[in-house]
Amino acid sequence: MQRAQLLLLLVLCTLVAVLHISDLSLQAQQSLTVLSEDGRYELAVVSVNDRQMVPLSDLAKTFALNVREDTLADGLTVTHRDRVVVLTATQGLASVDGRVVSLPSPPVRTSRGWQVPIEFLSRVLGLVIDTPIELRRRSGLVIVGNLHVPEIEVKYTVGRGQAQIAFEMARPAPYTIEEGPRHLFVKFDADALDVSLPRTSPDSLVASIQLGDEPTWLAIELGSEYASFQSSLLTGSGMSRLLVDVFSAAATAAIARANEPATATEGSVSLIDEGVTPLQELRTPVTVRTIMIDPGHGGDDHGVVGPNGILEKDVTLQVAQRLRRAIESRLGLRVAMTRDGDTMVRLDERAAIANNSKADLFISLHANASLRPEPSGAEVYYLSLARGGDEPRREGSRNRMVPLLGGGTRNIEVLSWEMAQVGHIDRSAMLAAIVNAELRRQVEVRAREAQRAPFRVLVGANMPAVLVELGFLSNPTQERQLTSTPFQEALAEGLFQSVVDFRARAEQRPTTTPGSNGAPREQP
Amino acid sequence: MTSRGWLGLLLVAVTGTLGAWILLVTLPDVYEENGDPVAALSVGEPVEPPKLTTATLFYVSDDGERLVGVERDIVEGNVPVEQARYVLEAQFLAVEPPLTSAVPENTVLRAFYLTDRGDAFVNVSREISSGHSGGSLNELLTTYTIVNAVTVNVPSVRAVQILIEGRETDTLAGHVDLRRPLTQREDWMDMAPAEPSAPTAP
Ligand SMILES: [Zn+2]
Repeated sequence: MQRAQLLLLLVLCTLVAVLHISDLSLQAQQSLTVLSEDGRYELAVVSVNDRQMVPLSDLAKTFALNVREDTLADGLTVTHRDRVVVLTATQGLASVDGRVVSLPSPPVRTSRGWQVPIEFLSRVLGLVIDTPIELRRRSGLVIVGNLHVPEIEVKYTVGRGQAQIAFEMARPAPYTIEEGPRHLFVKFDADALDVSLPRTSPDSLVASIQLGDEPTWLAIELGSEYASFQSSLLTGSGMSRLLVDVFSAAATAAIARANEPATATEGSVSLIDEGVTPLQELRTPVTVRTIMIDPGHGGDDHGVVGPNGILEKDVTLQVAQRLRRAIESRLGLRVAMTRDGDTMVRLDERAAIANNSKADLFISLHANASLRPEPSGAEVYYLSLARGGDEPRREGSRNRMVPLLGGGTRNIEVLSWEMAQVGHIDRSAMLAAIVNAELRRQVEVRAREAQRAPFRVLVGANMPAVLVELGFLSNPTQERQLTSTPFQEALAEGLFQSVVDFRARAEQRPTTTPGSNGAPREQP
Repeated sequence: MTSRGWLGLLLVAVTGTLGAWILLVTLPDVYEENGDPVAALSVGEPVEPPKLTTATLFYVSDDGERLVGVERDIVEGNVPVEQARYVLEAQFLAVEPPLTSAVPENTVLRAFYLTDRGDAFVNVSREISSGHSGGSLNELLTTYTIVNAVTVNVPSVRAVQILIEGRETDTLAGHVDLRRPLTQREDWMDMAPAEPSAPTAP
């Protein structure tokens, strides 16, 4: 027995030792890029016990540090001129000239010498060399001294005949834009750039967005249909946004027309609120060809679970399928669905599917829940902008006049440009009001008016879009209704009539029966 | 060695690996949560009793359709960030009927940050999402319980963004966009008529 215990202990110790060594065995994982007035160089980062560390010897060489090992005190003394740093091998603490600074872990000795956590750079080394050091983990940059290295997040939105590249910066960085034969170069006046680029697939307007030949340039490679561009810098509320819009020949002509003095009235201003699709103005007829139905939730995401176990994801799919059948058979329009089975589809993917299908209408279907059993009835929503932008056109102070290509100005709502839906709010409001009225003819509808909410699935939809809550699954009566064929058919009929009505208005066809809401009744 | 001997050795190896894993992987995570750049050495706790102030907290109305404000005495914070923390901690406390909270049980406040521009970041535990019963009404009520509690009680906060376990998140339960700070909504929903966009005959 005693021998067995001894054996166990021995094996355990051996394993611990072996694992410890293998764990400490350094895999050169990545590197940090150090930017200083002297230039740029790479600093190897090693992973020790899942902690990112850098070799102290490398830092010593670069920053003229003197490292002494104090075996008795089990620590290190790092000196630079008259500065003294004491590190202990047992605690994540450093003393810099007597001031205690915490570190996420103590220094670790490996086969390649002493390693210190990367936080040593910003928290300790900066104090030692008397120069601010900024550690940017996301981009792996270490900025030594007061270099101007703007953080730029590049976003890309593409619409019909128009695309927009947005450069978002915490502070405005001076820039110039130069047009080359196949590129637009955005040249920033900075020491370096800290850029995160979007993952884009080439389209007819923009083939790629990449770093340029110089470290402070960004190159927009232009596609075959590119005709013109315009840029504007928007600054406000701590964020600066350089917008570069690129246009096809048709879009360029449309903008020029809109800016002709004869038509430069209020009407041309509302063109802007249409965002990425300037050709779609409320008064301009559009053709409705493809309807996108988005059955909410799916897969592991059950949505609401009713008191008797009915799942939101099933109800939404059933109603979606009924609506699709109605539209296809009675209107002959193309219907696409974000899912046609019990699958999980991410919210931004749903909008992307609709955009890629060039859908003209987006209807997201959901079932609601309350913490109390009483609430019942359907609700219809369209998008409200997340940040105080509910009524962008009323808040003149938030808007800016931005010069337009070929003269004139346009009014831009500062914060919401990367959201494709912004350009379709008016039509979405119209669609929501129609759905609210048409559903009311068929089923109980809770709110008198269509409502606005910052719903995620609507944000990226580049077309008129609504979210319909079909009823309350948390209400036992409604739960039964929502699974019954007659009720589901009634919902589908209300939605179907909404499509008919919206299409008639959007295409500006004369209405046959100018009833209370002017909706033409389509007979099956 | 006998087969029993091998079996014993295997057992020992498995135990050893497990032990080593606990020692090397689990434990460091437990003790390394130490993010402050300067080691916190708090000196001298205040001994006087805390001052109280009245805050408006938000709960689900009897009909389950909206939020209602309920006044509560809470500890007064010295600065907006501290005040917001006290408000949210009080808001997240479990309540007895007839009150119902739209914030799922066991949700705790992890941290609260405020930028110079008045954007607040409310970092909460994952229960706010994992314990959520779904539905956009519920989700709106949960979201605006937090947004309203902070903006109503801490006037220097203009907008609120909810983070879950320190991470920016898409939604709580599949509906409300949480990727941007949200401003106060008086009754969680804008019930006003949708201005010129209401349907009119063309
Ligand atoms: Zn839902």
